[in-house]
Amino acid sequence: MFPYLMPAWTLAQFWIYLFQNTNVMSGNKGIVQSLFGLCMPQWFVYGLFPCVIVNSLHFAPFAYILIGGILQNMDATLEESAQILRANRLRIVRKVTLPIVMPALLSTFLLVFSSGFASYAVPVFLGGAVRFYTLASKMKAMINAGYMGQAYIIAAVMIICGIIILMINQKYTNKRRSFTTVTGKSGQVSLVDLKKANRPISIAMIILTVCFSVVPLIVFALQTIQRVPGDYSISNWTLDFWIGKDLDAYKMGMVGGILVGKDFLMALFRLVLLSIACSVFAGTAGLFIGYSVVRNRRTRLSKMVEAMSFFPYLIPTIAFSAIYLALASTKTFSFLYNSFLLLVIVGGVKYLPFASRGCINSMLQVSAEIEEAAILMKVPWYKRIFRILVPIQKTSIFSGYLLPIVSAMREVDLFALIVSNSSYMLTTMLLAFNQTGYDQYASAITLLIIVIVLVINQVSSKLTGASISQSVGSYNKQ
Amino acid sequence: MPRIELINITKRWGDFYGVKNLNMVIEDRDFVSLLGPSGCGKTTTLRMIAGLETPTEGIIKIGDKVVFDSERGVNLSSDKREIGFIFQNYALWPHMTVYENIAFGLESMKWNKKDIDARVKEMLALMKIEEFEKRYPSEISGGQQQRVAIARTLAVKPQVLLMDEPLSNLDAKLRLEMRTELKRLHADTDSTFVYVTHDQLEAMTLSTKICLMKEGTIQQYAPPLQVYNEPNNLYVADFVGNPSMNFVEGKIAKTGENFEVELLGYKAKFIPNEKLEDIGGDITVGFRPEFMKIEESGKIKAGVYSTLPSGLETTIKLKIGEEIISSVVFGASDYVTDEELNCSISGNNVCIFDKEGQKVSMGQLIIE
Repeated sequence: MFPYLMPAWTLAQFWIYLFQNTNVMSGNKGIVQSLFGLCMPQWFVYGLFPCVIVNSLHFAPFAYILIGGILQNMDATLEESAQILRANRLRIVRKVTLPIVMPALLSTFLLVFSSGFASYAVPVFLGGAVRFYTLASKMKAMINAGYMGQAYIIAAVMIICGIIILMINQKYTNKRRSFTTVTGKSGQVSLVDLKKANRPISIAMIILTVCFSVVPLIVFALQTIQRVPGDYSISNWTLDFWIGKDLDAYKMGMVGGILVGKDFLMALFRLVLLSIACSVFAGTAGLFIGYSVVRNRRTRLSKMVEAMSFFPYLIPTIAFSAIYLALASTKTFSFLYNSFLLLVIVGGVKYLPFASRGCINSMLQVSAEIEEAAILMKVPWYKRIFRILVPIQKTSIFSGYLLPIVSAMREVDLFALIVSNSSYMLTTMLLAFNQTGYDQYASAITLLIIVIVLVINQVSSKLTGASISQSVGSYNKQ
Repeated sequence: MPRIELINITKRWGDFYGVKNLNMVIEDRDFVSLLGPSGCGKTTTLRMIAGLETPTEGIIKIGDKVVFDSERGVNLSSDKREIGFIFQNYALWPHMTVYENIAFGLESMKWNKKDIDARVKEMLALMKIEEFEKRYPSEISGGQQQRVAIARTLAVKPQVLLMDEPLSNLDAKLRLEMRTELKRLHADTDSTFVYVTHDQLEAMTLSTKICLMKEGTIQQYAPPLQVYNEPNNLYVADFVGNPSMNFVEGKIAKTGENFEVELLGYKAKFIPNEKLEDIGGDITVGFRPEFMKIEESGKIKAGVYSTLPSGLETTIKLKIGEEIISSVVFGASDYVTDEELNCSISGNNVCIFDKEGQKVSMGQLIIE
């Protein structure tokens, strides 16, 4: 779960810190070079290769939650009955297990594909230096350069790709032999006996998780206290970048350490405010969408609303904000241009699918009778939602609010385009620092964001039992 | 041939015993029901016979073959035990048609195409589901799914057929119909059936022998009518029969050859069927509702508390003192609420249970 909570670009940043060396580009020493004197070639540090690795690591937990959930929900008796009918392991996997989980696997694959397709921040970090562009980063560059028309064409192409992915997904999940629950209770869970392989596999997984979650945190922490980047000796340590008042290198409007500067606190405040605003917007809208869709099940209107609320998910993030940028540039909506409100709207709509999907699922679990009992007592609909449905499903509804908060916190792709000087936030500040080479500041901000995200997740899971993995998990149950 | 033997079978999860030191022999061509409330270990026992669950200790034999022996480390996987298993939810593969579902097991056994086709057609005909051959499981009804599950299981000609509450997902009418079919199937196939259910009526009507379980141990293992008429203990007596047996607290004392029992505020003479050691003190008296006779000559005065006529028979709840006693009268008759009636306890099937709930004697009870 951990790597998914961390923003994708922190992994990208970590990759750079780990492998950058004096032979390529920036010329700063990375950890590997400092410790072992190894210089990785340029293709290993920047470009396609690290982009692939970093994105895979980032989406692995996401896929794990989705696929793991599917396998967990699969009725064990389906495999048991095959075994009793004298089928061997291989045949069971090939003929029973795989075909049954295939649609779900495919749909997970497509979701990850579309997320990867649209990724912006990672290529910016890892690709910018060697002119490795994705559609998303190219578009941003074009908009910065003023080629609005071309940029919008790219956005349109990305949207069309998103729609095609959605259609493929629909085609394969809506077949005649759809695998929605054929019968009632799902049987006992039978564990695959890994026998001796069990221990090494678990240990390897733990090591991998530590490498890509705990270690980056430490590295980021170290980065923030180095006077000269890349020098890991203790004499080079300083707290100036956190609390220093008279730093030589203050440009970018920073007066000193980030904790003393007013700009930083403003940016942090804006980010938190934005995340909460997005989550209130998305969560509440999701709640009502969930309610209306479930209670009007099987009407054409409800199906349409459901599909519509899913739509923002498939549009590549940056293309999505391009739409709103274009919208805000028109005369009628010009009041939105450069405003904070625009950020809230874009964020809210973008996270709506998560929230509404979660709410639809949670509403489905509450039987209609519970509500009908209240209808008979003449309780109005808003009271039924807030006095009956919400208390019953408070955990899952709360996680519907939680996911937008966490996502917005670590979102760069979405806001990169539409943030202006008057509405800059922590995350976009980070990009700016990174492009100008203030690694210490960038690391400090990254560290803070990760800590905030983790604290939110921990506190909320302690308080209510809602967690991110739960909300992501609920997302794929169709 | 396929005689199943369980020797000292124990299944333990940590400190919790699912099944405790179970010994049982299922004879060839028996139809044995494992009966009990949920959590009593009946499904676990069935799954251990099938090889889907591994016992902690014990030996399981099917036919002449030892399929499990904890001490010698024998544990044949379920595909080598030559059994058939019907799951509660049927476990039909949703991505295969009815035909493919039935053919799967035969393909696993490497039959050739022509034989498979012939056998599948035969099974479809036997279960009367020919017209659904090309449908997917989600496109047929629960009863039809159940037939497919049976056809799929029988196709490979198992010697032993294990069933885990196969009728519990069906509606009431279909369940009755399938009961008949199952019993017929047992007669037709010459195989040994082991059947798990929590429905005592199902167990009573279907099986040749009932194994009643509670908390992982056998309470009684006997033919249905024996379980009904001569329950081992209070638990068995209460579990089997509908409406359930009447239980009344009482006192017993020896008077010469016979015993004197105090119950319901009356004194009665108890004549045991078999010679009885000297007993005395607090007991529980149990008698079936059909032995609570309503007759003019009866010496027990009772008020009608409530009546439940079904047409075939009428269940009457009688109030005697503070106790409510059920009585069953066959035929279509009804009584007026609060009417005063005379009753007696007839027959020689009255059970005497001691304080621990064990049956100590059966016999005749004559109210004086």
